[in-house]
Amino acid sequence: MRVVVIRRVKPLPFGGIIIPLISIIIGILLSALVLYGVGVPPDIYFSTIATSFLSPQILRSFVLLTALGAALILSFSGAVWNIGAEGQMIWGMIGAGYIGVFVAASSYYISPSELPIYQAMPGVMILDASPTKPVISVLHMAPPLGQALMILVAILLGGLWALIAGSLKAFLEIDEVASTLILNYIAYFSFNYLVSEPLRGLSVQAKQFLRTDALHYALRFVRIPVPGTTVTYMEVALAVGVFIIVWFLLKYTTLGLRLKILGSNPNALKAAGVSTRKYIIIALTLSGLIAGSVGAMIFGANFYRLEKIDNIVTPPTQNMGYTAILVSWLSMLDIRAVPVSAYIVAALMQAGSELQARLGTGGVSGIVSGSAITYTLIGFVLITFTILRVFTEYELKFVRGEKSGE
Amino acid sequence: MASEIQVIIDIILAASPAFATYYLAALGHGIFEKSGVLNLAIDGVFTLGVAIAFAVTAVSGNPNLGLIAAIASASAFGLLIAYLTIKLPISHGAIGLSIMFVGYGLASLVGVPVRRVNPSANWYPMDDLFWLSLIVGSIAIGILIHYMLSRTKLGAAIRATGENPHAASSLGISVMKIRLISGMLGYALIGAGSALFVLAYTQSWTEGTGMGHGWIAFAVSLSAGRDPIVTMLASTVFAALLKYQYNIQAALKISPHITNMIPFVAALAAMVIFMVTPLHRKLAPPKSLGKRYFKEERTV
Amino acid sequence: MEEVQTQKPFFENTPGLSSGEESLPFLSARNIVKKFPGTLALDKVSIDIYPREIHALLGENGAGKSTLVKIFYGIYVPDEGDIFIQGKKVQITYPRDAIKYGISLVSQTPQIIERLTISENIILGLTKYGLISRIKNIHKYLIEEGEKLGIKIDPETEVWKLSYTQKQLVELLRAVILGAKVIILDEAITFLPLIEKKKFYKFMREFTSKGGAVILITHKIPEAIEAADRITVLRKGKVIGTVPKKEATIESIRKMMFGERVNEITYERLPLSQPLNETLLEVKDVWVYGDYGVYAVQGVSLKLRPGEVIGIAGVAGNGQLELIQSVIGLRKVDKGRIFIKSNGELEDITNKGTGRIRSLGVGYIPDEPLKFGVSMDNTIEENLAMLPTISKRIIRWRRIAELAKKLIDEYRIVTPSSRTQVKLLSGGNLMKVLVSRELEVSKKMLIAYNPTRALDEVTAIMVRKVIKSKAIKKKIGVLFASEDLDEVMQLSDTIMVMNSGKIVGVFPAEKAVREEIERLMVM
Repeated sequence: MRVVVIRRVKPLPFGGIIIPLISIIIGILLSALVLYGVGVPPDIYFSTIATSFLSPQILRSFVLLTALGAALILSFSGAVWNIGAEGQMIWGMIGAGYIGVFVAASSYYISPSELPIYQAMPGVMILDASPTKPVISVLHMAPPLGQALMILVAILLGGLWALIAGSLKAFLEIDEVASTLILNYIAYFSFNYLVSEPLRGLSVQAKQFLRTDALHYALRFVRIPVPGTTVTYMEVALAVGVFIIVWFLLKYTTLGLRLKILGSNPNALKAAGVSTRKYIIIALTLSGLIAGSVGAMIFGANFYRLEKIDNIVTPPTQNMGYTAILVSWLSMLDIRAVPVSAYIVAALMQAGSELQARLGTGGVSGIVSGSAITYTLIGFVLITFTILRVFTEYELKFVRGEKSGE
Repeated sequence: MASEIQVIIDIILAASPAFATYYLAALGHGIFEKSGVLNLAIDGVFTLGVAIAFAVTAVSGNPNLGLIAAIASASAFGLLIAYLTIKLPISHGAIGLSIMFVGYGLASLVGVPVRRVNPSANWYPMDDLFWLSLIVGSIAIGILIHYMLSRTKLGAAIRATGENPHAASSLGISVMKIRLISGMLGYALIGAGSALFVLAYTQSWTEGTGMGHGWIAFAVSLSAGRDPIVTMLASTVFAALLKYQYNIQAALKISPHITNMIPFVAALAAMVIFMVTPLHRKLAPPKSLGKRYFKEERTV
Repeated sequence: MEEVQTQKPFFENTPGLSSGEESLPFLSARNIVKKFPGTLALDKVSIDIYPREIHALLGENGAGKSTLVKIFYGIYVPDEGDIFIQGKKVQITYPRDAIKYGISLVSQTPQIIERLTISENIILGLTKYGLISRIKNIHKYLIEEGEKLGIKIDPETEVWKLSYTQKQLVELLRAVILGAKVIILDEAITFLPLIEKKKFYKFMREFTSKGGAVILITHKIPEAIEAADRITVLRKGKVIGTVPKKEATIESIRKMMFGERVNEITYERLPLSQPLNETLLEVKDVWVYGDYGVYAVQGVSLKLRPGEVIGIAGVAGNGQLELIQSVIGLRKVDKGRIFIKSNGELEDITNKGTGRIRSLGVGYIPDEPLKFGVSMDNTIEENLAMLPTISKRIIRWRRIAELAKKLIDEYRIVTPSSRTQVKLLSGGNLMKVLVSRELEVSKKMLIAYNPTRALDEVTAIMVRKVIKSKAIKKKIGVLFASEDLDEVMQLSDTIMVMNSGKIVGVFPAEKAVREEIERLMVM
C-alpha cells in the first residue's frame, strides 16, 4: 500500500478559509500538549486563550499586527521572506527615539535651585526631580512637527535596514532569511550599544538602567480613551493607512502585480523585461519602511524610552516581527484577511503573556515565559499550516501493490 | 621558543569547543543542503539541542547522555523535514521557519524548568586532552564525510538529489531514502554541535542560549560552499572570533555590545565574500536547492 | 483483469510482427486513464509491446504518448488501469520499479545529471552496488560495456562536457547496463540529423534481434514508418489504431493522427516574404558564455531585415539557445556587439537588459515556456499585464480584459475565462496565451526558440502562419532557432546552420537542400 500525491483537478473549495482555521486549532492543541508536559494545566491554558479573544487589551497588538501583516504581505507576495521585521522595528524605535529625545526635544541638567522655576514653566517636563542633579526636557519644535519627524526618521531607518538585506539578495543572491535574521541580532546589539553610550540618558534612572531619557509628554502619542487598552489614534491611523496603501498597490498597480509574479515565477518576469533585482529590493524595503513606522509607534505610544534589551528572547517589540509572519501567512497573502488573522494572532499573543502572569502568581513562576509560549504557538500553527496548505492544490491517492524492494 | 609554541597550542586548544561546535553544525547543515533542502530550521533545532543537552546533563549528571539526547532530537527533526520535503510539494522555507519557531519555544520550555532546580550541570572537562580529542574527532569526521560525498554511491546519490531530484529518481534511486539519510546524518551533526556549544563552550545555560549561533553555522557552511574541507577553514575563523571576542574587545577598547555583534557581522561578511569572489561558481550550490519536489510534475 | 495471457484477439489483430513466435506481449497496458488539471491526458488506453519489435507510438504533441510511457516508467501513476509484465499485473510507482522490471526510458532532454560524472550517474541505478560502494569500482565495467556498444567513453567525465548526441548515447548505455528489456525512446532522436539517427537505428536493430523491444515515440510520420515494425497512433488520449509497417502509408497515418483536421495540416514551405533593404538587427562577432564557463557562442555575426524570417537550424546544445538569449538580453554578451534599429538609427543594445530591448518592440518566445514565459499561478489577464509594454504604472483591468478577449477569440484559446489561472489550461492553450501575447507586442521584431515545440500540429501550423504573415504584412523581423528542422524549413526566408557555436552555413530558403543542412549540423 503506497501513498502518492497528485494534483487536484480543481482546487479545494474554501481551502483559503478552512486551512488557516484548522491550522490554528491544531496548533493550539499541539501547544496545549507540550505545555501540559511542562506543567501548565490545560484548563488554565484553554480558558486563558478563550478570554484573550475577548480581552480589550489585544486592541493595540491587533492594530500593530495589521500594519505589520500588511507590510509582510508585500514582501511575501514576492517570495522574499522578510524575517527581519524585528530589526527594522528596532531601528524604527531608535530613529523615533533619537528624534524624540534629542532633536524635537532635549534634556538638560539644571541646578537644584532652578528646579522650582522650571516646575512652574509650561512646556517643560521634569524628567528627574532629584535634589542633586535634576533633569528637564525642553521642547524645540511644535509637537505635531516633532511627531511627524519621529515617524519619518523611523520609517527611513527601517527601510534602510531592510535595504541592506534586499541588496544582498538582489546583487549577491544571499538568502534573505539568513541575512535578515542575522541583521536582527545585529540590530538588538546595536540598540543596546546606542542606549548604553551615545544615547544614554541624563537622569539617575537612565544612568542606572542603561536607557535613554523619557520622551517629552507633548510628543507622546495620544491614547484613545477606551478602557482596558492603551492604543493611540496614531497607531490606528497608521494601520488604516498602511492597509489601504498595500491593498491599492497589490490590486491596481504594476508594482504590486510584479511583486506577485516575482513570487510565482521570477523567470517569467525577467523574460518580460522587468528587473527582478529591482523588485527584490522594493519588496524588502517597502516592508522595512512600514516596520520602521511600527517601531516609532512602539516608542512613541508605549515605552516613551529606549531601554537595554536584557534578554533577546523578550525584546521590546514583543516578537511582533515574528508573529506578523504568522499573520501574513494565515491570511494566505490576501490583504483582506489580514485584520482577521491579526485579531487571532493578537489574541494568542495575549494568551501567552497572560499565562505567564497567571502561572507566576500561582506559585509556579519561572516555568514558562510569554515568549516561549508565543514561539511554540506560532511554530505549531505554522507547521500545520505549511503542511495543510499543500492540500488546497494536491490530494492523496492510495496505490495497491508490492513494495519495490531495494 | 618552547613557551611561544606552548602559548599557540593553548590558544588553539582553548578554541576547540567553539571550533567543534561550528564545524560539526556547519558540516551537517552542508550535507542536508547538498541533498537539496534549504535548511532554515537550523537555528531553532540548534537552540533546542543546546537546551536538551543542558537539561539532560543537569538531570543525569552525565554530559555524554546530554550529547546523545541532543543528537537524537536533532535527527528526529532532520527526518521530519526530509520526509515532508519529498512526500509533499512543500515550501522548504516555510517548514524551516516553522520548525525554527518551535525549536525556540521548546528550548525555553525544556530548559527553564530544569534550570530552576539545577542552575549548573556536570559539563565536559576543560582540559587539554578533551580539547584535543574534540579537534581530532571533528576533523576525522569531516574527512570521512568528504570521502563519502565524493567517492561513494551514497555521496553521488545525495548530490544527485540536490541537483535534480526528478532526474535522480529517473536514474533509479529512492530520493526519499536518500533525503532521509542526509537529514538524519546532517542533523545528527548539528545536534552534536549544539550539545558541544553548551557542554564544552559556554558551560552555562539561560533562556536563549545558542540563539543565533545556528545562523552563524549556516553562514559558515554557505561561505565555504558546503565543502567539508573548506568548512574547516571557515569554522576556524569563526571559532577564533567567538572564543577571543573579549580579548578583541579589550584590545580595541570597544563596548561589550559591539563585541556581541562581531560574530554576526562576520557571518554576513563571510557570505558576501563568498558570493563576490569566483568561489561561488567553483563551489556552486545544488541546482535544485530549495525547490519543491513534486513527483507527478506535469511536463508539457 | 489478469486475463491477458488468454486474450488472443488482440494478438490476432496485429499481424506482421517481425518474428511471430512470441505469443506473449512483454509489456501491456489495459484501460489506462490519467487526468491532469484541465485535461484528460489518457482515456482508457490499451497497448501491447512484444519482444523483438520496434513499436512506434505516434501522435501529435499533447496526444498522450509521453504521458503513457512515463506511466510505464513510474514517473506518473495512472488514475485507473493496469500494467502487465509478461501477463502478470504489476505496480510501477517509481522509476526504480520500472528498472527492476526491465523498462528503461530515454527522454528528449537527457535525464542524466550534468554536474556528476558518467559513472556516478550510472551507478545510481545499479542495485547490486550498495550505498557505501566506491564509484571507482564500475569504471572498468563501463568502458567495457561501452565498447560492446561501439561507444568510447571516459567514465570520469562530467556530463555537462558531453554533446547532446553523446548524452543520449550514455543514456542508451545506461539502459543496456541496467538490463533493459524494453527501451523507450521518448522523442529522444526525433530532432537529430539523419546521420546521427542512423547510429541509433543500428542500435535498435541489434537490441531487438537479441530479444529486446523498443518503443519509439515520435510525431514525425516518415520516421515511424522507416524505423518501426508496428505503429500505434494516439489522438487526444485515445488509441486510434495499430498498423504494421507493411500497411502503413503516410496518408493513412495522417488521417489517424489528425482525424478531420487533417486538411489543416501542411508541411509545405510558407510563402516567402519580401524583406526591406535595411538592417533591423545586427549581431556583430558575438561571443557568449554557456552555463559551465565555456563559450557557447563563438563569434557569430548576422543581419536581420524587416520582414525577414531567419531560422537557425542545429542540433540541441550548439549555442543557438545562448545566442537567442543574448539577443533578448537574458544572457551576457562577453565579446562583440548587438544593434537594433530604433528611431531610424542602429542602437547598441549589447547587455542593455531585456527591459530596454523589449521596449523597442521586441517579442520573445522562450525555450521552456512554462518556466520562462508565463507565470502558471497567475491568470491570463495578469500574464498580459505583467509586460511593461502592456501596462505602465496603474493597471487598467478593463483594458487588459479587452485585450485578453481579443487574443482568446483570435487564437481560439479554450479557457473558462480570462481570469483563469494559466496552470488550469491545457498545454496547447497555455502556449497559445504566450504566443498570442508575444505576437501582440512584437512591433518590430520577434525572437524565439522552439516556438511551437509543445503545440499540437494544427496550432503549430497556425502559429507559424501567423508569424509569417506578420513578417510579410507588418514587416516585423523574426529571428528564431529550432531543433526541429522541418519547422525551420517551413517558416524561414533565410536558413542558417549553427554548429559548435558558429554559423557554418547560410542559405536562402528556396535554395536550401535538406541533406546539405543536415550535414552541416553534424560535421
